Amino acid sequence: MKTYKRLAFSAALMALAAIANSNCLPEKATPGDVRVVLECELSETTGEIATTKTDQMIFWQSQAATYEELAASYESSGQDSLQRLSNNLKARAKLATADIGRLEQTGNVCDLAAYKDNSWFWGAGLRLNRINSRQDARDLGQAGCASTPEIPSISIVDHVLQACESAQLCNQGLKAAKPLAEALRNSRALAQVNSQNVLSILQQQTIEKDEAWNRYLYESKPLWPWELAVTDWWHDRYDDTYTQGFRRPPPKQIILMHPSIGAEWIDNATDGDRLAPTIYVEVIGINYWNETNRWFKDSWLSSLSGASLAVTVTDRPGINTAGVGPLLTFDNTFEVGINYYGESEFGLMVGFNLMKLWRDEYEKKVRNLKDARR
Amino acid sequence: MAKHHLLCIHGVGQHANDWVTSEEQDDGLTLKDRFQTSWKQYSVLGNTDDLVFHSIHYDDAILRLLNTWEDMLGQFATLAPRTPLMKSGTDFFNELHEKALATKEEDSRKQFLRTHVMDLLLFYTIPSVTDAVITYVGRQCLEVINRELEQEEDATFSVLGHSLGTSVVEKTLKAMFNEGIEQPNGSMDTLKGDFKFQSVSLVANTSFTLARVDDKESFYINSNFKPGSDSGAICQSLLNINHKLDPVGQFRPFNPPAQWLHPDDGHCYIPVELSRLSSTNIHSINHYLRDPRAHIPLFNSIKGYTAISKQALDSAKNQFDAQTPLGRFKSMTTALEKLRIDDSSTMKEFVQSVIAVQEIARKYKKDIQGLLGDFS
Repeated sequence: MKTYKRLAFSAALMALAAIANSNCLPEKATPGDVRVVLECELSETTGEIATTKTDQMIFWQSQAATYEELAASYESSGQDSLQRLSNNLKARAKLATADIGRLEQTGNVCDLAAYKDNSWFWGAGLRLNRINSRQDARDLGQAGCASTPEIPSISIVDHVLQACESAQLCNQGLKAAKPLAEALRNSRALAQVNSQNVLSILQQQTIEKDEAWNRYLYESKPLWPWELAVTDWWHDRYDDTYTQGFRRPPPKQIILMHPSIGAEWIDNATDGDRLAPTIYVEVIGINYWNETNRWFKDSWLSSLSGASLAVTVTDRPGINTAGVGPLLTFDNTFEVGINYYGESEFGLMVGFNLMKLWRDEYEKKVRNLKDARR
Repeated sequence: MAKHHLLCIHGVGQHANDWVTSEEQDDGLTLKDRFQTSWKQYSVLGNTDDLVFHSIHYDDAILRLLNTWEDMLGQFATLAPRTPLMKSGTDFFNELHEKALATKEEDSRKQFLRTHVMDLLLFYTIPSVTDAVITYVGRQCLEVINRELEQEEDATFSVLGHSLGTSVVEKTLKAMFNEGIEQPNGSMDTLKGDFKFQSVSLVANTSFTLARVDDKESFYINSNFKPGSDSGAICQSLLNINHKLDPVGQFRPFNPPAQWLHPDDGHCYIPVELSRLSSTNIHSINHYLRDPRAHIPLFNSIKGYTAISKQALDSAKNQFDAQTPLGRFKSMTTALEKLRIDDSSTMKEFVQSVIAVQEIARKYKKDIQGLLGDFS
């Protein structure tokens, strides 16, 4: 459908919607009815709305022209408050046009563009937000924003109330304000559409980050509290300004004094003592919990997630009590190490992350506990 | 009229996922019931059908971590005896593990330490816990907002945080409104300009207490967590509600500098300090919200204008004060005042004063029975 046809269609739908909602106005309105009447009129449905940038440019230009015409008619009829409101809305529509122009020109989105919802959002208080003054800026964040003097916050209800109170009959003031409310509703409808996308993309991003945190905290190599703290310190996380939004988990886990239990084979140990449970402590190490950050990609070694220096403690006749050696972690779970006990004695150790094997059990516990409290 | 959605974020401790509608507070009412009961006292507010409550929770994230650590200790207790050398050290691990589990069954003081103080310390001292919690909360908030806006495009939203939940709110909203959506040419679009909360209320506010910065410049001035009537603000009104005798909210209090807001936006920030006691459970969210000094500004901020007039506020205050004679709580108030909560200078002292208040409340509970009947 061509743009002008689409806009004409929108206008027709708006007119129909206005007729359908003409019962917003009581027979004999009083100043006390103004808020309710406005809430009703502003909640009317609107017609088809512009979607492409060119459509939007035409839309906002036409909205600015509508507000200008209304301001002129209010001036001639002496309805000062409605004229002030129209002029404020005209300034917003013009700025929205300019911001769309900038977007077309530079390809940069203005974060606080006037074609977005907050510039037209009246909230529960029926008051439009202030648009702060802006200067031309070269930096990327502001490059999509057209310059403007401050457009003050304005109360819709107060201005319509004044129109109601200054007219001979309140209904006259409210009727005069009706086309303004319709135009405003239409502006808001498009601004809402322009902002909807941001909310849904943001939700998606947050879900992805939340899933990453779940993997980091509950599905990767389990860390003790001091390891979580050291990992955060290593990645300089003790800043809570959140200027970049929600953070992703650190790319690597720092392993520090991490005790575990495994099974170790020492070939030279006496019969019956060759394979025995061993306590080991990963003194210092690193683990890339997320596949995308690992040392090796697209090879059989891609499952190698971490490496650390381990100290083992054992009690076998003829073997030194303490051993030391490298320990490799695969897929955050399985650990393999070679320990040196001096005098050419070596042990082959396999550790396993029992926490991961018991994970389902934890989740069940938490769920049960929360269910029990219901 | 469009629905108004209230996203409620709980404080320390364990809570049900639908805590707003299922958990009884100090007056025997749920938060939702308390809210609606107070709302109905003022006919100008209309009925409560357009108010929708949402329970936002994060305790499960902390609980999962605590359980993980408990079970890691459990592994040791189970497997260590199998290593000959550790037979002697097994007792140590066993004892540690038993201690971690035993508090579940033990007296309420120890339980309080485990479920309340531990939450607070983990959230404060380990950034990964903080980040995981706020991302989880942000996810829930955005799910509610998107779902409800899809149902009704004119729906409006407010946030109500309590205790530790206030710090969660502050960090979550800060991150939510700074979260960038990368545009094809490299510029960033954020939620600022696209969405705004009607009101954000922080009850027993710990947001500055649990901030990792000390200077007011970083925390207040350079942060986007501020109310305002401009199109870039995250909320229209911010309520900071504290109680003089509740240490939570008094240690490193939320106290923004004068130049925090745009000169036209002073009215958007509403600090409220309560001093009346209406139960021994000072910290309960309903204890705060029962007082008209707290709920009237909250209701007005949700309505977006002064729906309840100054005269109505004065009358409600007088009525409430008549129900809560100072003498009834005199001994408890004196004991609490002796704590000199605002003199706490370290986190350790703060935690100690929180525990001391619990003790005092327990001690005086028997003395002040019967009063709650007036409010439920």
